Amino acid sequence: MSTLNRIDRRLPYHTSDADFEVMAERIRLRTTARVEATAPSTSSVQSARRPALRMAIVMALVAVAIVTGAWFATSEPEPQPTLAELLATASPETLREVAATNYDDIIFNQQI
Amino acid sequence: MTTTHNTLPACSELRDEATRNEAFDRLVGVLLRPIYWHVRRLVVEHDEAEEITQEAFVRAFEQFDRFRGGDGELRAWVYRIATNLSISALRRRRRSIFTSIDRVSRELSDRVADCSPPDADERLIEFQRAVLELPTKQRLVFNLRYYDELSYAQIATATGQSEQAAKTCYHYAVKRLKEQLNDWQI
Repeated sequence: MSTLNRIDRRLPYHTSDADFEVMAERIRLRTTARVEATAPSTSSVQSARRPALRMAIVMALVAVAIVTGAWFATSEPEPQPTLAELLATASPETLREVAATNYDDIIFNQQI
Repeated sequence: MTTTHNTLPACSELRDEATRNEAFDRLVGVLLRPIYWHVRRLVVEHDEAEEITQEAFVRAFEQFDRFRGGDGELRAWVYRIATNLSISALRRRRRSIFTSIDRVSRELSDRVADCSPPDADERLIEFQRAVLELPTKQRLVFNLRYYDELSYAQIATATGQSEQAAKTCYHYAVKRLKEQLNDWQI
């Protein structure tokens, strides 16, 4: 280590005492701000409010789920018209179009 | 326990809300300069070292509740926070994810002269450049042992490796530096 000891553990850089004082002050300010942000007066109120708020949200979601479920359970599906009813109410124009579209199928079916 | 401004506070003082702020001020008073210089040796530039040092102390303050060690491990724990932040800063400097931290440090070695005062000792600049050329683990261990005079147990805590691994790293770091110093005739 004799060669290394000649270096004397010094560094080529320079940082003044004022720089260190500024750093210490900034650290103090930042940690004080954290302490104030989590002070008991506000945190106790917040910590008391938090479970109540959480409970209210859960209750509201449960109520919405119950109401939605009940609505789906009571509402009956609307009856769909049968093919015969659709044909009976369709206009002659529509019927002609349908016949033209399915002409090949009709021929095919007749051949069978 | 009698405490002066030159000794680290006890963990019990840092945990007690009544004494916490005063104890933390004392912690900053004792460790600010060593931590700053430790970080500066790793990241080279003053502005970045200053920022990391402040962040390290703020994190130590915030995360002290999670610290499970005793009074003897407090110093090494703060060093560990600062070391991790410094390594993260070096990672952010990588040009790509394939660039190693070792390469970043080698590039930083070119900045040593620029970050030193004009009248800085040339030998000290060359020595710092040689230290920055060491692989990351060896560099960390060498700095903590040679400059900060931490014990191998403390170095193990600060760097997250075993004491034996720290001793081996130091041995190889010194060997390599001696070879370089002999080449330079320092």
